[in-house]
Amino acid sequence: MGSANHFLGRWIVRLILAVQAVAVVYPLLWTIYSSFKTRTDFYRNPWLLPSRIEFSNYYNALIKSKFFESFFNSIYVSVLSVALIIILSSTTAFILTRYKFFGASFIHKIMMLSLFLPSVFALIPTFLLMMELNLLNKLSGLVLVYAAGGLPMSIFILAGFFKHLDTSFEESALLDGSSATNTYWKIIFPIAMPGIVVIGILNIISVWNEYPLAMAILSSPEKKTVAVNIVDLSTIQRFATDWGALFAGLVIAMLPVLIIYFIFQNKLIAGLTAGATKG
Amino acid sequence: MLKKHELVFILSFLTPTLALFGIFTLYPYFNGLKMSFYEWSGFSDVTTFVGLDNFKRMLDDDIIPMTLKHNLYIMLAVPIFSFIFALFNAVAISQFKLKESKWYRALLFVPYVLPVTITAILWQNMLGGDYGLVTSILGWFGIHLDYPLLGNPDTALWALCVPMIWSVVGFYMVLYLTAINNIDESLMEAASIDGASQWDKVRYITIPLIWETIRVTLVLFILGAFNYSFALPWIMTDGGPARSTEFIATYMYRVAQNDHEYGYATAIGVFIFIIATGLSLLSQILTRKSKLD
Repeated sequence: MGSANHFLGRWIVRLILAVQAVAVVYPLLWTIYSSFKTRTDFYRNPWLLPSRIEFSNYYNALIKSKFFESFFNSIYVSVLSVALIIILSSTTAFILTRYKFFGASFIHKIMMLSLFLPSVFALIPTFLLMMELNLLNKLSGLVLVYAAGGLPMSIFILAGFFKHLDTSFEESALLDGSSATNTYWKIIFPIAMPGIVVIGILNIISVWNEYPLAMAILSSPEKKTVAVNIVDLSTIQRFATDWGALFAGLVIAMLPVLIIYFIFQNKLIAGLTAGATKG
Repeated sequence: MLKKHELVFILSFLTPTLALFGIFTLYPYFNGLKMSFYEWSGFSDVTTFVGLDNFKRMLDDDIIPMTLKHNLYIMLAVPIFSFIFALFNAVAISQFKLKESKWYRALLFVPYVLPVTITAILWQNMLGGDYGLVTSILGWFGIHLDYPLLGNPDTALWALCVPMIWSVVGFYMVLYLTAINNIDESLMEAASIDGASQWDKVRYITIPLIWETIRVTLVLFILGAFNYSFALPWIMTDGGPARSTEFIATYMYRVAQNDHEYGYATAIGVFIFIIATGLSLLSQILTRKSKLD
């Protein structure tokens, strides 16, 4: 192994990694700058930068294609389902790590097992359940489905977190006569904040991105989430050939995810990969 | 032994979770299993028990083996390429300690967090007809296509693999990288001193020592082949052209949505459940370390 060899290897490796990075970044950049192009500009050469910046695409996407409404639907669904997930998974993870009782390990096991099931099977049965409960085409139905779906992974991550938490604070609070419920919300929950943030971000992203269930459950245009609406927009623009509005819609749909990703990158990657391997 | 007030506390914290999980996660699985023995159009309250008829019908349904063949192709192609890229990147980043490594990690992970609908539309445009970037790049190499990649029954299935691989390489790369970083560095140094080539080190040190992580990713690859083969083809090709990208999951949804045959659709779902879970278990049994040593 000569050093020249090593030097060459280093640059070959670099080249291969850089090509992959370009393959990731270029389609995203192309989408962003194409969203500022006029139709004729786009047809003249779809790969060049815009000759002048055109904002009307954003107006068309937001107003004409109801992106405003679907954006708020997505925020509504994300906030409510993630709030539910945080409350329910943190309390459950706490109980499962602190108390030994009949059925505790069974509950834990069945939740973990559900992480390794082919979720696509649940698509039609969940649709039928929504029909039974009169929750079809309702955002509240989607909130409940997402909340339930996010629980196992979140409980798993938080249980790992609670296991390593110092118990001396809660013990002294309990000795001072604070009720278990109070102790949890006033002392333990705040200490668990770093773990809560991780599951919060993980779930916001997965709820924001979810497509099959939202597509199956929501039918009227004003109820749709961003992930569903962008597909409708894509189909419409393909025939109307208004590419600018489609690219503007894509930018609106992916921007929140990209912003969250680049702010919380390390936490997010750690959470996503920890959840996958240690189950 | 738990005291009464402890029991009340535990129940107050557990009941909402169990109720939500039971109704919206467990119940659909069991109800799906039950529905697969019934015939139901979804419109009336009349459900008819038909025993194993839905499953017998699958045996005579020519589309099922065709979709399974497509699933098998992507279950081989997507994991093989994802694994090679992910492991190569992970080994490269950990071995060469490039100063821009953080950037590769940050950027290559991005597709994994993008909404699947965005990935689908992006790649529909990249692989698309007259102006698709991929078409242009192939053109530079002198390959001129008569049909767009996604519009040709001979190429559509393979073209679909591109976004499937694109979206997961970064994820698996980070999984392998985390495992590789736990390997004792002195092992690698000792191997280098003994004159081991880079390939030898990967083959005899890295892969055996991250074997447990690779096993877990096998399950994720198998489940992914079923879960990811719904949204992407549904949006990008709608199963076409000429059913060349119809997968078992897209067919299941089509049977429910277009034909309103919910009993038959859930039976197909049960079948997906059985093969996906069966293959996952099989992958774990076959790769147990004691068997390989």
